[in-house]
Amino acid sequence: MDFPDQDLFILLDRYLAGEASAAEAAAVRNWLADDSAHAALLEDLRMIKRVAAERPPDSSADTAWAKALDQLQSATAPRSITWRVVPPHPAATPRASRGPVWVGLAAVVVLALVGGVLWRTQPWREFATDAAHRLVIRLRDGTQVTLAPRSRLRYQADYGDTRRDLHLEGQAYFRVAHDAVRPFRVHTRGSVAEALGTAFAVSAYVDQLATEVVVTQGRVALWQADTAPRTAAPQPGAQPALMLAAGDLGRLDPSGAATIQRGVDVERYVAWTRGVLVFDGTPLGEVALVLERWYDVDIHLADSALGVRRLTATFRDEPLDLVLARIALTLGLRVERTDRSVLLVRKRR
Amino acid sequence: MPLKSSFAKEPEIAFGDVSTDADERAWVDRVRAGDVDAFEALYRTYWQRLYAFAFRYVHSKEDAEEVAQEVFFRIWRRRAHWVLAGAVRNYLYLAVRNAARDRLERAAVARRWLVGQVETAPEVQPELEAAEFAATVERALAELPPKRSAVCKLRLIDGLSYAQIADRLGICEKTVETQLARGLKALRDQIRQAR
Repeated sequence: MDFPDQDLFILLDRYLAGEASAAEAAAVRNWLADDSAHAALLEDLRMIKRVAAERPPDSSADTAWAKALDQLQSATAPRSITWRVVPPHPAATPRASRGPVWVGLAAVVVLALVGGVLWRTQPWREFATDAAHRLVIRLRDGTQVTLAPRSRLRYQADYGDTRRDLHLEGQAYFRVAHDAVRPFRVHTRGSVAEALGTAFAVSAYVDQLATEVVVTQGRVALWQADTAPRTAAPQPGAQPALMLAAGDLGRLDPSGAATIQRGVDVERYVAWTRGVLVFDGTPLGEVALVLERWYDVDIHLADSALGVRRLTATFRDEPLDLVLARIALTLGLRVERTDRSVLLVRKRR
Repeated sequence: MPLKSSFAKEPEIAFGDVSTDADERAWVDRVRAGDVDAFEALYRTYWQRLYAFAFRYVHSKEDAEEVAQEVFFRIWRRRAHWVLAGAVRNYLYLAVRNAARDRLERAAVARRWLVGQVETAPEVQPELEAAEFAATVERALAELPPKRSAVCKLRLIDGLSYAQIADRLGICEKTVETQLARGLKALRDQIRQAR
């Protein structure tokens, strides 16, 4: 018996998993009897499955790199930031999406003029999360993005060629690979956060007015969307709305109002990347919004006055029932539930 | 009726853009010049894969981590002379394979010395063959194109059904089947090549 490859492999996969019907199992046995080479194939697949299932325990790249850095520092001079201007290099492998090869500094200027047109036809890539889903995305240049629930990240296929531009709705934590030549920018609805090699979180949900940026490492320039420089060379007189360093929390709203808080507890703002939700005097209305994103549930408050009650609590990867119970206990509320929604009500004494 | 109360699930590594060999060569050039950031990019991009590959030989998390760390450290120490003949990926896997086998050999020698036996080469062979097989599968699985790799891992490691995989990755079952079939075929081809 001969199967087209795809059907065969699926059949054998189901057979080995014990999911084959009686008829399918019989078909496999016939196929085995046809040719001794078939038995070898089945055995190989069986071995592959067994080996794959014995997966190695996870090992944290963060921890490993921290150790390596220690070793490095004793083996090398302290790191300093070197600024070099390097012309865009020609690709070793041809890519249909690349334009002609440019050489020299002139390239940067020409790109500034032509960039908008040349690259408009680049296809877009998109990652989106539902409620109760996080996603970690690794980009070509080594940058790592942790996307919170109900968020969307978009970028063009030429990301990393001469510049690195991402578009975000929702919330994400960025660990940016250092590249002095290719500026890294996160665009939200009303602002642009620009960084070199840093780590920072951006919060710009659709139901938020302002964009919030918290920097855990390095520096970030926060621009209003229409004033942000389009190229690596800023126009004279252009100023970012805010310059943020590690420990700073910046807020920029569409009207241009910018505020900055220095020395914040950054842990609180990025704990979600590790599955921890931190509320610190947070209005219940906002708590409800956050829980809805992380637990894929509808939460209603029985009356609008409840929305301003404040909650201070930390939840570590706990089931929703427990979270609600704790909130109810802390604020003197009662939890009423239907199929997929929750109602928080004042307790009657 | 219980609410669906699971917290935002453990993040999966999305099938984002993988670095191309050209990207990685650019990092190598920068490493040669002493650029720590480029070294970090390489480190982070390859850590999981190389560690898991080493694990298939040494069967211990600590040892596997040490093997991978050692390989990277050696690269850094001799960075000024780091020349590559082929793809960066091949160099790294080969270096880890050699380092892991060295470690196994040293452990075998130590055992022999302790026990006072003279262990002949063939006795070590089956263990090493099994390790090579597992390592080949590990590498082949990791190096599949991202979507295919994700589908195969969910099926082979987590044992999910096609429907569950489709749901988890937001694709249709037909695509799951296609990707799984192609992945299995690729894995099988790899192990045949390695024999």
